[in-house]
Amino acid sequence: MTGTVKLPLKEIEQMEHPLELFDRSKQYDPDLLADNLYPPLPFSGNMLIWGYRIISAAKENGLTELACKEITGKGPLQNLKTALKLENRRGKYSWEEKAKILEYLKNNNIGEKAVGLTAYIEEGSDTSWVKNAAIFRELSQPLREMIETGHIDFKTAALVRKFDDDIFLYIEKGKKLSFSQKRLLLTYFSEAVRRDKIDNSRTAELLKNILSSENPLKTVRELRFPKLSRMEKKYNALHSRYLLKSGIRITPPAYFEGDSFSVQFTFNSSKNLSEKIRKIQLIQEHIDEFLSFLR
Amino acid sequence: MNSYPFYAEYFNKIYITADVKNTVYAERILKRLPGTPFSIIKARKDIPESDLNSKTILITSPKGETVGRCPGTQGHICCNYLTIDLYIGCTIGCSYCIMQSYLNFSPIVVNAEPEKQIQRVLEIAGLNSGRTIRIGTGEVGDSLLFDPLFELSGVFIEAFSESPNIFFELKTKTNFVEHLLSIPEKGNAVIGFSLNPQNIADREEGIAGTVQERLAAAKKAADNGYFVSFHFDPIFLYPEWKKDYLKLVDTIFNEYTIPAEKIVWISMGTFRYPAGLKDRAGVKDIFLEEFVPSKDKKYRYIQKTRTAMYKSIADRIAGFGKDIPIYMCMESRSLWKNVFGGIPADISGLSDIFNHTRGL
Ligand code: SF4
Repeated sequence: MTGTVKLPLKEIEQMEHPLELFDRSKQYDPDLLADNLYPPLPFSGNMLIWGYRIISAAKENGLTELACKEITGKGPLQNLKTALKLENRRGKYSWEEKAKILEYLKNNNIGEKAVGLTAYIEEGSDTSWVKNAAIFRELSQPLREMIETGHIDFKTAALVRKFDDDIFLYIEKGKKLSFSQKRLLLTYFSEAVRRDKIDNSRTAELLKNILSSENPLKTVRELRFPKLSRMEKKYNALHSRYLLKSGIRITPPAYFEGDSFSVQFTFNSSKNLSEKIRKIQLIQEHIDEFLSFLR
Repeated sequence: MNSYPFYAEYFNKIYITADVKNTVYAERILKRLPGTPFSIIKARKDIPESDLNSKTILITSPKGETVGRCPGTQGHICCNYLTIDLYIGCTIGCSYCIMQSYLNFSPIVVNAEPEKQIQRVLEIAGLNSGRTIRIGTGEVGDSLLFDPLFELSGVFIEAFSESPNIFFELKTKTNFVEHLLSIPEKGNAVIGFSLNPQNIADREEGIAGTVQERLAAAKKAADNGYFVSFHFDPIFLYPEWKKDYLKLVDTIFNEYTIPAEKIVWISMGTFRYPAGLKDRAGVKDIFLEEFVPSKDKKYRYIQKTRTAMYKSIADRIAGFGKDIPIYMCMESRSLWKNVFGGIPADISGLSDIFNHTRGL
């Protein structure tokens, strides 16, 4: 390892830059730069290892040279570790950056070691970023952009990645949905498509119909949970048959999971109370029809 | 897959804590995996971060309370099963396993000081004389996957062989029973096999033994004096589920002719998952059916569907031996009433094994 040297900016820029992996948009503080307070830029031979954000800031501030330090005898993995340590943004890398890191590893045939880099990339020790970054690399450009601009989260994008890009246009143009509604809609939709083996050529049309329905979230839920939706409809029909306008509500346990129904009614006189009780007694004859939803 | 090269190929590193370095189990693994690098360490925290994964095996001693209760969940009937953590972690790789995330940052841990655990179980058994104690090592991993390497299970089997109320169960998806067959005194030891139709095993159960291998092992175990148990857990819902699961039941009794009196219990549990598992597992067909949240915040198939599934399987089993205790794992009171007409306390043959154990 040699000492620090000042190199002309032009010369630094002309170096090879396989390690230009990080988002440049967050500028290095120009005041710190003006006071020469920045880590020397590591380079190896004709390759810059880290410091692209400092270079951008230097150019904007009219600097013509920067302090650099040559690192010798290190391989591509160690150089990447150096860059990650200097970047020092554990847990804050975007998917675009993680995908670039993975690509660098692949280009240098060190894919298997990606897991070992987790300590420099993620807050915890969860290594799933490797698998997910690989998925991110396969996403279409519009989807990648939607993730980076916060229109959709990575998980949902991964779910819907096999759909045509038109689908996302419908969603953007369709009824105003919040971020979480969009996520729910796409998750339910993609799961139903996958389970019911709906042909790719039909998905766009299907989604269009969902989005143009009165309540897209209700419609997509029916697609995702057909049995449960049928049960709910059947239950409501049964309830209406026996209790319509009775002022009595018999409620099953949530999702028909449990063994007890609840009965709710109000009354305002002794006569009114007697009527309600009589009605409930009449229902007793049909109670098996209600109970059958839980058995 | 039952041979030492299988393990030698899998494990990259062995760590042994100093307190167990002179045990026969530590010696065994070093002899059986001679080419695998090893280190003696003071404590688990001395393992470098880069080795904190399932390719590492840590031989150590159990810490704290050595016997636990099966973590029954809120609103569900618990079978009062006791657990011993012997092999913690599993590399079979079932897609539905909650251990999967654990393995990303933990070595396989082997508690190689059985004396403490044995002592505690005997103490509990003494406090519960006349009541059945069901205890197993399959809660935090597969009971037999690593057992041919260490032969720890045999130590427990022998130690409990004279206790009439201890039913010590080794739950597995392997066929690794060979090393257990020659143990002279088996007492009430039970070898339990988790079963699923072969197409599910192929798709969801990693490197588990084939169903035929598991059943052949069950037959061998039963023929050699062990009790056996079967666990239809998790049962999956898919278009052909009924045909496949009923055929599996038939296979146990018709093809492998395992006598009903050798089967101490059969459990059933439909596939269920905590929300986090789906998030971690990513897109998988097993999550695509219709699931609803239960009281314990796990997701399960719709109650009416589960009822039909359990009833079909339980009826089929009952057709082969009315007295085989059949129970459901982590199910609600409503399900018990739907399927069996009552809760375990009301069902003869089950009330005994669902006993609440004293002294824990
Ligand atoms: S065998 Fe059991 S512990 Fe092992 S991966 Fe499968 S479910 Fe998990």
